[in-house]
Amino acid sequence: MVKVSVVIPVYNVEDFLGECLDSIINQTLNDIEIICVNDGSKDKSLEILNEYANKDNRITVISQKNGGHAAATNRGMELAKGKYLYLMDSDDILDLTALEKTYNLAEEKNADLVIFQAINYYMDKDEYVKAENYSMNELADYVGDKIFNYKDIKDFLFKIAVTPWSKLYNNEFVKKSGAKFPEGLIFDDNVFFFEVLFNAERIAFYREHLFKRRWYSSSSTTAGDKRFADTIEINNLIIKVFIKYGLFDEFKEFLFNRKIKIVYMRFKKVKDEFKPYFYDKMKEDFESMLNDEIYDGFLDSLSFKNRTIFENVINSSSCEEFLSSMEVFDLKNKINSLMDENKYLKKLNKELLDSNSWKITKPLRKIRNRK
Amino acid sequence: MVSISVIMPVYNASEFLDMSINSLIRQSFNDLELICVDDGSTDNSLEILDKFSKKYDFIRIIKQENSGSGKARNNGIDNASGDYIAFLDADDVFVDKDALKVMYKLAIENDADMVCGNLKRLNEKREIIEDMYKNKNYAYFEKYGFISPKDYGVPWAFYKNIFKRSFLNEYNIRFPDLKRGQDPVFLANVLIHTDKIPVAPVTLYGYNFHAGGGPNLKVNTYNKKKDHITHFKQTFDILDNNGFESVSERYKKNFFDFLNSSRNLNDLELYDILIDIFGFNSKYFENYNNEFTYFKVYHLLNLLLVLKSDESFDEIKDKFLSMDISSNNLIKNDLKEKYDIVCKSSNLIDCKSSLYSFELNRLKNENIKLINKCNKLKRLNNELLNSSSWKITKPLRSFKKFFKKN
Repeated sequence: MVKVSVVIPVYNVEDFLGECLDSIINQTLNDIEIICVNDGSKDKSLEILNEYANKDNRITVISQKNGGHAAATNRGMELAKGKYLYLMDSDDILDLTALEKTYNLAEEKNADLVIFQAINYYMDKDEYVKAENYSMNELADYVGDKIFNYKDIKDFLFKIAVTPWSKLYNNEFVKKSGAKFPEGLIFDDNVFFFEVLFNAERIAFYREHLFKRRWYSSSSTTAGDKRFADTIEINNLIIKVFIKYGLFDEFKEFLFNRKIKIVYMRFKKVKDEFKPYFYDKMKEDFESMLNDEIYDGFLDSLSFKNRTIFENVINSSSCEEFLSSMEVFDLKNKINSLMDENKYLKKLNKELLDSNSWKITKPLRKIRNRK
Repeated sequence: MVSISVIMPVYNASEFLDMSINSLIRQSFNDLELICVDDGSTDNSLEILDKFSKKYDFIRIIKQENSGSGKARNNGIDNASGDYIAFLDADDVFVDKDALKVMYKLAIENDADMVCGNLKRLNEKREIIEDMYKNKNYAYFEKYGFISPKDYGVPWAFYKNIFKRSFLNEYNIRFPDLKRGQDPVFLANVLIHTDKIPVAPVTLYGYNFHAGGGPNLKVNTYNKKKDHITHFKQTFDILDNNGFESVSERYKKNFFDFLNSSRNLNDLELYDILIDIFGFNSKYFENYNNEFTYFKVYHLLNLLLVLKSDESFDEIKDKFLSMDISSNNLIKNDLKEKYDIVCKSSNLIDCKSSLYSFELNRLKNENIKLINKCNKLKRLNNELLNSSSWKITKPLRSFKKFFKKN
């Protein structure tokens, strides 16, 4: 069997697909198969895929009706026959030595999973920027060269990038774990990640930035459209995964706060025209939390801000009202910090005027003022 | 049979017992017993008490299941054998070493039901703050003399006084079973049953304000709030029904100072409890109509923001319309404008929307004002730091720093 199956779900990425495919076909590890799932693209993506497939017989192109990233990835994973699995994003770029390096490490350590680092590429500024969420230096420092599983890194569970493309997976391990991407939802990476993480017994960390994550304005996770409301269901699914693996009690306070924080953060990023839709979904979900026994007593474990957000969602009768209530909250916070700043500045001012330096030089100022 | 029984309720006081019990041992008066009532402590308080009682045989220990300091003190009184009763909390101290001696002498000379001493407060380092509680509010005495019970004022700080045991038993004066506010109820019951009270300019009691984070931080669960409000009603009743109306009115003022303080004004639970216990149109507050109305308006406005039904809105609007705020000098500016908004709105959604707009406007203005103030201060400070006066004296400051480091 081939060493690595690369699965690439493709949807309307004609601008970036070429660069993506170039980075895969030119991998230094060439014993690979490349499964491209065209998820009902309406632009030239399919043409580009076919062009590449004609020139490289490692590439297979499959077309399906548009079902979303999760459905397309799941389909590709089903067809993957290689020893290892790599899940590529069609608008990003993989370092040419990535597969070889991570494959070798995985073989050497008999790993279920190899995690590696990624770098951010901001298109409009043509800038490459490292950020801790994809560099995961805290985790890397902690595990070093050691093989670990989730129990060894409980303090870092939420400090690992959930993105599928920053990992090399042992294919049989993934199939056995039954981990899949939840179809019909965006932010689907989260659920797959935790299922894989809690099943993996041997994980290795490859400390090099081997992936370039492209940032541009129209990708689904930055567009801020209706689908952002999927975050609510995703957070609920994440909680279900923690319950499934017996980790809920240990992490529930953290999970409650995280859910409210992330859902509200997505809500703020959603375009104004979609906010009412998102708000309705939030309110529906939050109200059901009050009756769900999983959430017994959760209000007390929420931070003051998260609790305010939650209560404002529940108590408002419209999105507009909710936005006003949060604006009031934000202003009050600003005012509090301004008051603190004011106090501090006054104190400083008084200290200066009471200081010896100032007092000693009073005669000098008197003379100057008389002039 | 001893002259004085000192009663100390003990609950998880291991941090303080050495301090409090030693302060009693330092008293010059020694014909006394110390009754420590352990209220089901879960730390090693009992061990510490045992250690003390082995060393000093005037110390007795009574154990009870955790039932609160009120029941603990009552338990102590019931088991006391002294002519007079004094109280010492496990985290407080007795101060002047002759205090008990002086007060007991006065008690015997006058066959008094009660003798008053003075109270001081301890700071975080457990040192006495000389100037606190030296005013009428805490019945502070600068010379020997007598006062009438009404002159004592608000029935606070019972523990700076000593009480005749037979007097307490004659009228069955005990501590009520409340988590908060048992003290004023106890002392009010004492004051209404006695007459001339001898007073001494000695500091008997040192109150440790900082133990347990200070009293204000303790009123925080629903039940504690409920008991706190209840004690006010009980105290008002005792005072009002026994000719102490002027004292009761003073205590009502304290009550509103507590309710309308910034910490409590946003506590809707307090509002619910108060209305439950006193009633919306309570006659208790006839002389405090402005304060009570202010309290109701403030809370109802907060309540409006979390309401969902138009019915409840109409109820609240009716309440607002029935209030006469024209002569209420406490309801002005922002609060008055919000009051007007409610009265003019026809339904909940319009009302909330107008209230939010108003609030946002107000906050934005405040925000801008503060930003301007901060900028002004920053400019001033920069001017100072860039002035020639400051620059000229730089060597002096460097020298001072160097000196300090060595």
